[in-house]
Amino acid sequence: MTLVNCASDVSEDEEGRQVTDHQQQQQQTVGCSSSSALDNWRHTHVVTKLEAMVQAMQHPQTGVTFRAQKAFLTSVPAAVAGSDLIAWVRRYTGAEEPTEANHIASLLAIYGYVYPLSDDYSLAVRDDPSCLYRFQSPYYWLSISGRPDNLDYAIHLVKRMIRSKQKPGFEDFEKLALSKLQKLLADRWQFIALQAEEELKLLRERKKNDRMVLEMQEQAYWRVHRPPPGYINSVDHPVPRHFSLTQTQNRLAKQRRRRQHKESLVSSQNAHHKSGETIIACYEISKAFDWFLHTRPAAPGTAGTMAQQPANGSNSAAGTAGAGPAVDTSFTEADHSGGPSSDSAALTSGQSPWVGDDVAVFQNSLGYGESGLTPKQVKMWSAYFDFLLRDAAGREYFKQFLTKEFSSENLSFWLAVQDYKFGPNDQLRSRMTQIFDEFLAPGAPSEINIDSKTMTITQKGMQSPNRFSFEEAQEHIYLLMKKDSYQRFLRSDDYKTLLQSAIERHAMKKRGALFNFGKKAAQPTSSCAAHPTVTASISQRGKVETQSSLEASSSSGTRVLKTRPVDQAGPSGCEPVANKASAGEVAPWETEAASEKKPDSSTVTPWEDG
Amino acid sequence: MEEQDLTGEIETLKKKLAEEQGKLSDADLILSCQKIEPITQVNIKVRKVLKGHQGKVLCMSWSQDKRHLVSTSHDGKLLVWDAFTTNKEHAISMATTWVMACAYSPSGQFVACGGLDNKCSIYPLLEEEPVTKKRLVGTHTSYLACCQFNTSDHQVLTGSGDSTCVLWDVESGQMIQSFHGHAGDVQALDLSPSESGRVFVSAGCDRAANVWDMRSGQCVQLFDSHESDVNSVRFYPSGDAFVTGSDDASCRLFDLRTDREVAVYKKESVLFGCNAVDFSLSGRLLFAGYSDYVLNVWDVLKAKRVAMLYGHENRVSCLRVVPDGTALAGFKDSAA
Repeated sequence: MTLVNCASDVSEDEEGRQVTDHQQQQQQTVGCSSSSALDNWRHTHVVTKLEAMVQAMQHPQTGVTFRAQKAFLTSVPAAVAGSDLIAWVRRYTGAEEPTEANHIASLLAIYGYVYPLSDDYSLAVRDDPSCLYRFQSPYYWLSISGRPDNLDYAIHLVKRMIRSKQKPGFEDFEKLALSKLQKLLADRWQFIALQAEEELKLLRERKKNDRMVLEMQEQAYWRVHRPPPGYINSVDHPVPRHFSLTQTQNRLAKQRRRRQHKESLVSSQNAHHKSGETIIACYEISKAFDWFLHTRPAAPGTAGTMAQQPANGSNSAAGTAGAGPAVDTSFTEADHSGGPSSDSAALTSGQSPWVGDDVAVFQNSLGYGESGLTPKQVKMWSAYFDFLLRDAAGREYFKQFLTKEFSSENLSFWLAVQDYKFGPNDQLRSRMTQIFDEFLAPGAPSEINIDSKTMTITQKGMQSPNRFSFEEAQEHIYLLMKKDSYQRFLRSDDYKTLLQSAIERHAMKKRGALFNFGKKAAQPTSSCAAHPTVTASISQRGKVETQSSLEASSSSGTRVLKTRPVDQAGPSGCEPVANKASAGEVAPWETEAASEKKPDSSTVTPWEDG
Repeated sequence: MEEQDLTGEIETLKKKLAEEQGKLSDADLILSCQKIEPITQVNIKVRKVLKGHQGKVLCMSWSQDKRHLVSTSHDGKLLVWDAFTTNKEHAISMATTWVMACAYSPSGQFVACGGLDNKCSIYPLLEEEPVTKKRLVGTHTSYLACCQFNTSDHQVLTGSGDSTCVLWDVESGQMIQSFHGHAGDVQALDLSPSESGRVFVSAGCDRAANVWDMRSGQCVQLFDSHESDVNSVRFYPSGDAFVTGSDDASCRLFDLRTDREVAVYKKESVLFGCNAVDFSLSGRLLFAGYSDYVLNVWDVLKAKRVAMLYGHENRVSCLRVVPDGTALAGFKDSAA
């Protein structure tokens, strides 16, 4: 260890002199370093941490243990074994996994703080006691020397070329680079050649051991900054930031002076509870949709990889039996604690869609395939009103429901204002008058119900057409729909049958993930009655989506629909479902193992498969 | 003199209060989440590898059809992939090689992109030769760092190195609204998931995340607790909070309603800056891609790391979760 320190100290001195000469000349001729300092700004945090780590490593007592390495005739100063390095890093950073420590150690090499004493170009630190590494001299650290430019590289290459006459090893890629740089820096080539000669002369005056060390250090430095072909330059950061650091800081200071001091640093406690609550509430609502958060019924053979849910006890026996009632209850109350566990069985229903090569299966899982809407999609509509509004199919069904209740003009108005708000600028005026005539004028065909205050605001807003002229009215209608119609929609039979049939249709396709047919047989009346409307709407969905002119986002659906024959949806939709409800027979389109009535528990977790 | 002393004192008191607040904030979210079951294991596997870019991949965006995605790279190419079959459906050569922003339109018919050329352009995908039908949407005075379509195909929101964000009308190429207030380059922006389309957040090199009201063009909230450039920002699914990823190796969750930082996601062994963040569908998991080729998966509610994914040969530069939450794609250097 002491040997190494000496060597690096000495070399620092020598190279210190060299550096100042070199740098002075550099700055005179090229004036480069300032740009590299800016680049390093992005690196600053990382660099400080890495250098702190390296310095801690070199600490006599608590640092890494060094070993001497003897090679042939010369004995190279002490070096560190790969495994020691990794073990030390692990203790220092508290990394829990060995791969993480390995990774960090490799990063030290990649960023040039450590270099391997081996001939190959790889910079990965191996967890091997026989792989040795040495610390790079601080002169070459990123924070001190920054990133080199072509001039430095040219000088280095010239030196290598000269040296290669005695000691072969001048690589092809280096030759190539050298010839390129000769052309690029032709005007300064004399200086470069002279500088190279100077440096080599100084080097020859050193002791042999020191010389070897210095050469290795320089080589390692260039390995990092000018990697051979096939290796990536990791230190490079692409685009420099536009504003320099000082500019940003000045602007920030100005802003702070102008900005008023934020009030209420005192009301922190309650505010924190609130933020925590809203975040958790959101999570509770949507957690059913994340496949990895689903519980697995305790089944033999499947590794229990998922989180346990307390309310799961009753459902574990038969996932299928649980599916029926759980699906119903989740509509009536906003109780999600027991819901998701078995709902998830309904929702995930099988494999991750990304496994396998069958496009039809994939499209199915997205809701564009033969099975139509996925249960997950339908279920998501009940989580947030926005999900329903965002989904084209959701809007359609909601609209049908509203038409029955004679309040569909609300949705139409909302959609029209959305189009208006996000539509092209030149159509603002025309659309505004259209909307007014259609929805707001007294005696309008689809007159919406807003209070007079909102009406006056809207009329004032309409005088100067801008995208937010109808904002108040739209918000009012939105809240109205959300509090009233939306809730009723979720409780309606329409929605329930939608969900049920979505589950059924998707369940058919899966191996063994079947749901309780007994249950369905018990509700034949409601399902049969609703069938005509549901299936009719399914068959129409293809057409509806193509014709829908209300929003731009539907055309993604059209594009995809081209891949499947639209007419298939019609007849196949009507017939088999009706069969199912009445007789529980196997539907004509069912394939392989779908007819087994196995409970859900035996399916392999989707992500363990394949 | 007295005034200076007093202001100095105020500053120190403010700092102290902020510290105390900080302690409260972390503890609080974690405390309230104690009853929530922990995530025992997250199983994420590499399913598809999209190879085809010759240079560093700079940006990507999923289509609303949950199947296609667009990516741009340093070799000057914009590629539209079918992620499931891994086929490349379109390959568009761009005039500039550094294209740092790209976005898929909601209808799937257009892609918007831009970069060092300071411009945001739109390419129609349904045309025979999209390159010929390129349309210019807007120009900044510095590079384009990020862009997104604003709910429809007709409006694009861009963030630029000139520290402004601008909302453009696609058809006319005119600026609808501009947003000034950042002190440094804007690096990332995200639109609120709420359907009202009035809020978006942008973050940049001034270490701050600004929340904007699109109607007034004003910055309504500012969060500046990061210690270095903020590279990425993403809204929490509820739209009430957002997370930022920064060069200071931490990700932070900020809540809009209570106007404060709620959680910090960092670890001793995570040294490198975070370049890209995204949430899982429910918002429970935070996927963060870092400059040291790693993807860390954080449990949002408990502020713990649950998984590490290595699958890249270089920095993760951009990462997005598919709109239905079943997959995520991260890009850098030739592999997805």
